[in-house]
Amino acid sequence: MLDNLILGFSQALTPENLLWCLIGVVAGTVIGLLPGLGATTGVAVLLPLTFALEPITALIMLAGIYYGAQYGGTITSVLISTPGEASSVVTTLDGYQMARQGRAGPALAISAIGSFVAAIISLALLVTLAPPLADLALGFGPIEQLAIMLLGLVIVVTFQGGALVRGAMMAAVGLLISTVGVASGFTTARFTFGNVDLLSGIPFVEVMIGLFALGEVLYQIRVGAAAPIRARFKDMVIRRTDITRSMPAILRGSGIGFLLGILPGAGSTLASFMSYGIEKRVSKNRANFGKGAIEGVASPESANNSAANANFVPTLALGIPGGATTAVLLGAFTIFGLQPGPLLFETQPALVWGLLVSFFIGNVLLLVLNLPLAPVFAQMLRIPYAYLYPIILLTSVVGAFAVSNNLFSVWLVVLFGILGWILKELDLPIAPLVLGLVLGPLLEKSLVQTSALGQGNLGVIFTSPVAIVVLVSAIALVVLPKAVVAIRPRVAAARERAKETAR
Amino acid sequence: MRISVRAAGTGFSLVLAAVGLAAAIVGSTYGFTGEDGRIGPGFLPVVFGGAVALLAVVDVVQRVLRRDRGVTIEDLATDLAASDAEPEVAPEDEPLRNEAGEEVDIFGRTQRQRTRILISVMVGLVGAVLLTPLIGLLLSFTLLMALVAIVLERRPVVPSLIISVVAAAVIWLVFRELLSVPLPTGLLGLI
Repeated sequence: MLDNLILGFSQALTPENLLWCLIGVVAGTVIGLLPGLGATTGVAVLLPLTFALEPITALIMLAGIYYGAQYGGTITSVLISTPGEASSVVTTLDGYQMARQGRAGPALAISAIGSFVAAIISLALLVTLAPPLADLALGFGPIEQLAIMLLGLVIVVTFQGGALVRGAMMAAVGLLISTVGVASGFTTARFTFGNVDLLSGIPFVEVMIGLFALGEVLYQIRVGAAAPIRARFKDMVIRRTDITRSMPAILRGSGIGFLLGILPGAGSTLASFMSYGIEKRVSKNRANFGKGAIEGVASPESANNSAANANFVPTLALGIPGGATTAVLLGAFTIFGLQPGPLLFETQPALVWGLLVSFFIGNVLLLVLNLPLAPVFAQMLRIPYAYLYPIILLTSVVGAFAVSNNLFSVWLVVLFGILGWILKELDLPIAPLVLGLVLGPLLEKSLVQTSALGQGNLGVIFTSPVAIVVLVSAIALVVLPKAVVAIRPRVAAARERAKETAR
Repeated sequence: MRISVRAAGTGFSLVLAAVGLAAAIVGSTYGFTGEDGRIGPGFLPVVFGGAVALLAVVDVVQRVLRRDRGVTIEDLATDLAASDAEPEVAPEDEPLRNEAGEEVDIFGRTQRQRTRILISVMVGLVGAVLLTPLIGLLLSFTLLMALVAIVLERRPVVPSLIISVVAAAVIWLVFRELLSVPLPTGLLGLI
């Protein structure tokens, strides 16, 4: 472990990697706070820019955007009650109230501190857990991989919120899109309608840029803009009591965030909701939640950062993305010719450990930047969106063109941009679609191999104890919440009756 | 005419159901199973196409019956996070209104104006891609950028032009010069 960390530091601390890490986190912060831009969009749009870099440098920068955006998203949540990131939605509840009471500074400061503490805790857990999990996963055959992918799909569908059927429907759409082209192991061209560009399938990066960048821009045009609350440098001072009061919330948030983030498919949004909810039950200051309680900012902000890092556990160790942004990062890995998954720790130790150590460095940079500079970043909110979104449009189409040097990519971006807008307007979840698109080819590969192992009989999946456990957990995830909801009123009613009889 | 989200959602799900069904039918022509009953290239297209069609139909039924919410773990979390008391609405949280009493954003644009901008941007995007083979990718999208800022968003002409040109120059430097991406210059072969 120590050798690996030393190897990681030697990689991450080269001047070039340090510089790109800084560029990544600053870009991430700006992207996170600009309305209509989130981590996923940022990584997708800026991915083509990294083609000229070494893979490790490129991934360090892209990961920097990812966790930088978590910090940036907070600034908009607090100042204009408009979360730049879905994972910062809960922060608006108390963060915006604090800002209105003239305490925007402490709100931003505590979220920077909370995010930092959470990042360090979750990174320590990440470097401890990912390698043994990868070791374990090395022993997995196609059957186990198939089961884990099915679990990932079930998690993303059950955890994305809203109606279960719609989540499943969107995942199925993503999976169906992934079947376009010639699949590995076959020679039949599917759904290509004679178009040569479709033979290798619908390219992932273009779909991401379309769905997230263009779709979001189109959506924001109709939503309109809100005025920010001004944060000043002198307001940034945070009292010691604020920190000591928030520490338990930060620690609990970090733990909850990590637990949820580690599940393939569950994301930081759920983690932030869950930790806020739990904090509201256990905090001494719970009466003030929703009215500007600092714990109500500290807890979800710690949780979403912790979950963002924990997302890398399944991504790196199993090759199954934890969320939408890690799905794009997974796409970046494959563009650089790297196959994320258990083998990566063995074949590319310098890259993996360099990347992991860069997370530590990036978070230190973010804390140093965010504590004093949050008001400066907040000035970005004053750039009129009317100037901003045409630039995003231009960058998106040129970036998409750069991926394949083909105008077909630009058409795809426009098409998926309009689809992304429709999905947002109709409140249909996009994350399951993305996961379906990423997991589709992997799922088909394991399915074909499993079917070969069983000589056509897919029942062979039930011969693996690991696969059975994983599949049972998947079923439990769908059934349990329903059971809890069904049982809860009955338990409450039984308690009432017990009270009545006691009287 | 205003279309409700529910009606639009039902329409979209009906389209999805048709697409899923068509995909399953076309997929079955690729071969559901291959040699010795193993999975064929048509297996997943049929399964996924069928799943899309089935789930979309269920969604339509749920929307029509207005029983469209299942219970998920996130619901439990949201339930936990929900405030016990409604937060007080301060006067500044009231939506902005124009003289006619319509809701507007901070730039004073009504919902209808914003929708018109949205449709124009979509048309502009398609137009810009169509124009690319003639005047090139960068030029056609820079043109779109300037038109969006000046005509649709009614921003001042000079700053809009400066921002468009500077953004295009940066993109050109990064992609054309630094990354050597052969951006299409079109028939005119300008940039």
